[in-house]
Amino acid sequence: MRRFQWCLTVAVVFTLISSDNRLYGQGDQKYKVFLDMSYSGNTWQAAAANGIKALAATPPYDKTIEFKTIISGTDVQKQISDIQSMVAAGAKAIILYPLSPTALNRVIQQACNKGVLVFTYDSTVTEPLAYNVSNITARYGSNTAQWMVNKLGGKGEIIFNHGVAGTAVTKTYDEQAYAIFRKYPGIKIVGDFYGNWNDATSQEEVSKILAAHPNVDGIWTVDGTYGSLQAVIKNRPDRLVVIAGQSNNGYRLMMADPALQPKGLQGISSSAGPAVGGYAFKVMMEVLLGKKKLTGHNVEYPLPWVEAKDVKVCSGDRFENGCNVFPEGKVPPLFLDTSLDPKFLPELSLDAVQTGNPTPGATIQPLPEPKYAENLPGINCQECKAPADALEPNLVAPIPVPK
Amino acid sequence: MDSESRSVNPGVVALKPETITAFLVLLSAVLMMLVMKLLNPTFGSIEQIAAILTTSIFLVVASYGQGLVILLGGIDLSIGVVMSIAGMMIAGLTNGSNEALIWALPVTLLSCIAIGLVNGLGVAFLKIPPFIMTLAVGTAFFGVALGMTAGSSQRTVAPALQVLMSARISGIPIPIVLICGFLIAGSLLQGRTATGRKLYAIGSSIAAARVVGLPIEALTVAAYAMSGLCASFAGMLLAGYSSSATLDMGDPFLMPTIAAVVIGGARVTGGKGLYFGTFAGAIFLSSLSTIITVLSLSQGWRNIIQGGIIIIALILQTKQWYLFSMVNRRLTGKRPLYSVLPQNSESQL
Repeated sequence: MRRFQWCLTVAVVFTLISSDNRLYGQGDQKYKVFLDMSYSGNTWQAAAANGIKALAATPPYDKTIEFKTIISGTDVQKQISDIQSMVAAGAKAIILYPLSPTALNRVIQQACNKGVLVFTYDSTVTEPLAYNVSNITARYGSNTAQWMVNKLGGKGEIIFNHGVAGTAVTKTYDEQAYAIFRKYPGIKIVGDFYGNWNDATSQEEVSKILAAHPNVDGIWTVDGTYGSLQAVIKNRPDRLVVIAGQSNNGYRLMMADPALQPKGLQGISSSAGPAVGGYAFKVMMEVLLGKKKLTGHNVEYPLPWVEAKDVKVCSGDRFENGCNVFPEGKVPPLFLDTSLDPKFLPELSLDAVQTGNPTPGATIQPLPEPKYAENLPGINCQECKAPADALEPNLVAPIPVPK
Repeated sequence: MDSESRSVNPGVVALKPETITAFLVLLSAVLMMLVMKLLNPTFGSIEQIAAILTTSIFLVVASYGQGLVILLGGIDLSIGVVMSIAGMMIAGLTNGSNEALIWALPVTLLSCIAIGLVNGLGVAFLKIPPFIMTLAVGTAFFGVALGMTAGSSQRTVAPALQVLMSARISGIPIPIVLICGFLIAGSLLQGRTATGRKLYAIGSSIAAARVVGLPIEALTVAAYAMSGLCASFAGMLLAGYSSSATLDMGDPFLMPTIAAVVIGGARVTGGKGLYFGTFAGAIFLSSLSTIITVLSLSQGWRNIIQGGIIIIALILQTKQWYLFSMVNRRLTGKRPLYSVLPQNSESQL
């Protein structure tokens, strides 16, 4: 009887182990990889997630990994419990859009200690075991502000369109942009508002400010750029502005419109692009499969930077031969052209970032060596120091302050 | 009640508290603009005021539906979602084509009315508290929209809708003409029709309305459907204004629709309120938002001011009833009962 019990115990343990193996996907060599999205109700998040999903289904990853998407919403507590569930379900790697730079640190540390790779995209965490892939360190605020100052000749009235109050991105970019604008006494911020990265809100608010300050010369935005420019075109069609912001297809087309340029429109298309999601996923997969060994935990995705002279309309469904915008009507005006990245993500087509389906015939291409990001205390590291020139532009040369 | 209202000096009767409130709110909006003009002399040209009024149309239209629902003692928390869905639908269905508007417009309107109907049916027949019902329905339909669009922005809105929001008739921007038309139609429907009066009666006392034999359930469903219709109109106008649509574009309008109704003098428990008051509240909020934007206040201050104004409006409302009673007592020598005021106002409409 005792021998029977012993055999039974061995059998149960063996079954558990073998089922556990199946759960972990080691039997068929498939890694369990999770995407943890924050919120799927906006264009940016949808494009980023679609890019990741399409890449996960592109050969050879479609045979290498078992991929699942979890939507955590906007509740950081839910994201914490979702990460715990993923680890319990046998995750080998988790790519997530973190809802807080600090609140997830403990759960990420627990996951990493169990051998799970944790990568964030666009937004970052300060947990040193996690890998951040973002361009929050690429000095969007100082570069675009300096570009605007240069175009305005160091003087003029500008509108400042903040993003979402209380977010790390808004705080970081605002600080950088303010530091540049303050250097030029001729630059006057005559109105600022929180556009919440929303084009309709931005359009309304810019219309209101134009009512009070009809001589505005420039608008600085992070997102809501298309709406901000629409407000100027509708309220002051004969005198447009210098504007810095996102990469919506409609905005890029307006920037390069030969009918609008003589009216004073000068634009720069930059900001964070959804392709950072796909890029982070590819970096993570190369680390997971042992093809790459990262020497740092903060990887910088290059800042998109397209001026009117660089805008080139594409004829097909991909950004090829230097083209970077789709013709009007092919995509919605708010479609983010930075959903695609021909250099790092040649596997993705327009359909891929719109539907999440892989591009037929595409296979995963290797990435070049990544660029490591500088430290930003409270953003991508805890006990660290930012570089001395953290608020200075590194893509644009400043003009002297006019006398 | 009738003998009491007849005995009151007619001149005093004309100055109903809601009307006084509405005029005071409008006056405050004008005063704010004048102060702005003093602070900034370049502010205040006709063109600029027109631009501000144009942006108030979304709130003016959406808060009408909210006002009707609040008149019944309910609340509609699905308005923001319905606005977004309407914008997404009209953009997605027309896909930049004017011809498609002929069928896309009724399809969008009917879909949003259907959401309102679901709200109304839940509140009227299943007796689910309005805030839970509308919140749940809003969340569920947001999920449906999210599933169908994956959160992506939609194609360009039909050019005709964009023209509607930017063109002029005899020099007057079309949105301002629409606002005037909507104000007249809305006020007539709410104040001068039998259906409107029945809504006041239900809001004042549901028990009394039941005794009289009013179709309470049917009117409740109709009010929520009307709210869906108004939100749908507002969402489509917003999409026309922005030339595009996103799934979160209606969100910033939910709280202001409630605030506009409350600031306009409506009683949050139902039975009292004029659309003119709600209209004044919407214009006031749009002006306030302009001033806040122009003064470049921080987001914290904006929230404090907007929340504070709703609380002040509610406090003033309570005090105002008290003052009104006092004035009436002085002028008529009688003590108008607080409880008869709603019925009193109903008989005057």
